[in-house]
Amino acid sequence: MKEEDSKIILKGVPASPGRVKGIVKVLTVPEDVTKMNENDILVAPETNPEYLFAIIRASAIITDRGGILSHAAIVAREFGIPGVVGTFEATKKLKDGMEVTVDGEKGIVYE
Amino acid sequence: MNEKETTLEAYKTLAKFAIYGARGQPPLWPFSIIETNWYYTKFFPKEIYHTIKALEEKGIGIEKIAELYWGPSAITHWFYIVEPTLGDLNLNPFEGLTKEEGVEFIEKTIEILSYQRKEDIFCRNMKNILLSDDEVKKILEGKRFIEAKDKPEITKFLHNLTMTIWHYTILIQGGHRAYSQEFHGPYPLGENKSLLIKDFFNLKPGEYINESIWDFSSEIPYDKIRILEVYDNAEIQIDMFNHYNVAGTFVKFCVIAEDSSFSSEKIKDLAKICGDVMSEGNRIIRKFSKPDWVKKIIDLRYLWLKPSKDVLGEDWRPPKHIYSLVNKVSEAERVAREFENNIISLIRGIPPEKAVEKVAEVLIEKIYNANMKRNGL
Repeated sequence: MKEEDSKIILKGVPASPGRVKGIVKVLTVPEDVTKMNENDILVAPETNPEYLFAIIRASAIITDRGGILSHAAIVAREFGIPGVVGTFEATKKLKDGMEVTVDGEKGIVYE
Repeated sequence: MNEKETTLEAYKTLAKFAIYGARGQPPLWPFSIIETNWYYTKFFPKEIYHTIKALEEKGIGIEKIAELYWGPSAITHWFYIVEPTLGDLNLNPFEGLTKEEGVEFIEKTIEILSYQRKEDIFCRNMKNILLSDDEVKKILEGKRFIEAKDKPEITKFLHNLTMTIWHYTILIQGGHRAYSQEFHGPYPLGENKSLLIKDFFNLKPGEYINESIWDFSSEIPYDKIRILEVYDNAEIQIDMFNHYNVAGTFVKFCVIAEDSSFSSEKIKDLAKICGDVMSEGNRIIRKFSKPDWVKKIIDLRYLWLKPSKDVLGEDWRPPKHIYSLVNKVSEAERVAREFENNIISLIRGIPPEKAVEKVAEVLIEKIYNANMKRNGL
């Protein structure tokens, strides 16, 4: 499918380049880390050190808050996984189990 | 450039971050940096200022003081201390200091940085250069590097280790990782290759004096860990607060502790140990109340001053009355809430570059023309 045919679900700040398709896992609190499977897409309000073990398993990170220098952005770049931050409503619009494509270069999440 | 102009330059750089902050930047864990800095306004500049003055009276020059107050990215954060004044217009940014002393505190900060950073002290060129060519050469001598190119499984261990320690430093320093890490470079190595150095230190805060701040940190095997990373055709950017960004081909790396270069297996083992300590640390810290955190942050910052206090023959521990700050949590929270509203009102409708100047000028005004009560704690 061409990019222009995909429906845009969210736009945010491009934080770490790369494009990946995966299953969404929304972690509103870090205690939910055990919900994460290897290569899930981590969706969180923001990240902090308590999310480390979820991040290690993630294939991409999407957050509600944050800029290019936020915790989530730096971590995504270090791990070389796509990151889109500052979307404002990722945790509302994305639900567990949804399959989405994250474009970290453009800061866009596609259906 | 005179001192005031240099200070204005510093605050323009800082203002960019303050404005990014207004656009949904999350609070720093464990709580907002504005809250943390609100506490700092109450004790840290005063303590640093008087310690520097006492060292100078003992005949110790600023170059030596710059060695006692390591490192540059932590010191750069001192500029941030004035920021909560945007959340409370009556707040004294440097409580307990006169206006002149507050200005001198900022000027000393700039002077110390000029001894620690070899190029732009505010990293406006996105380079954090701390070493000379000869020093870099010496660091590389005899080091056993591991090839990274086309070996994703090996580099994954390294990234896990780096990120685990990176998070661990956030955990043990109450969100202010710069007191336990300094990423510096890029250092050119010729043939389009560049070196990035990731230094982690104070990984067992206080343990060397049997005053361990965190019980779990005793499980970390080393107090200092250095990671050397070599890139090909890379763009390596580091700002003055040590945020970094790397794009390029990762060629090789070396992990060093206690003068030995680690094998891949040892890196994997170290990442596992650090990960386990992180889990334990998270478990313990999760139970912390905000006042518990404030007390830890006070202890950590006073501990950081210990090398200079030792030279003065003084106890490093905070005076007991400083701990009364733990009773002012709601005041710090109010300032942090109002900060964002105030900064948004201040820059509404102004183009980005002008907005940066506007915020910088307001902060500078706070330092140079403050007319507020200068009471002690």
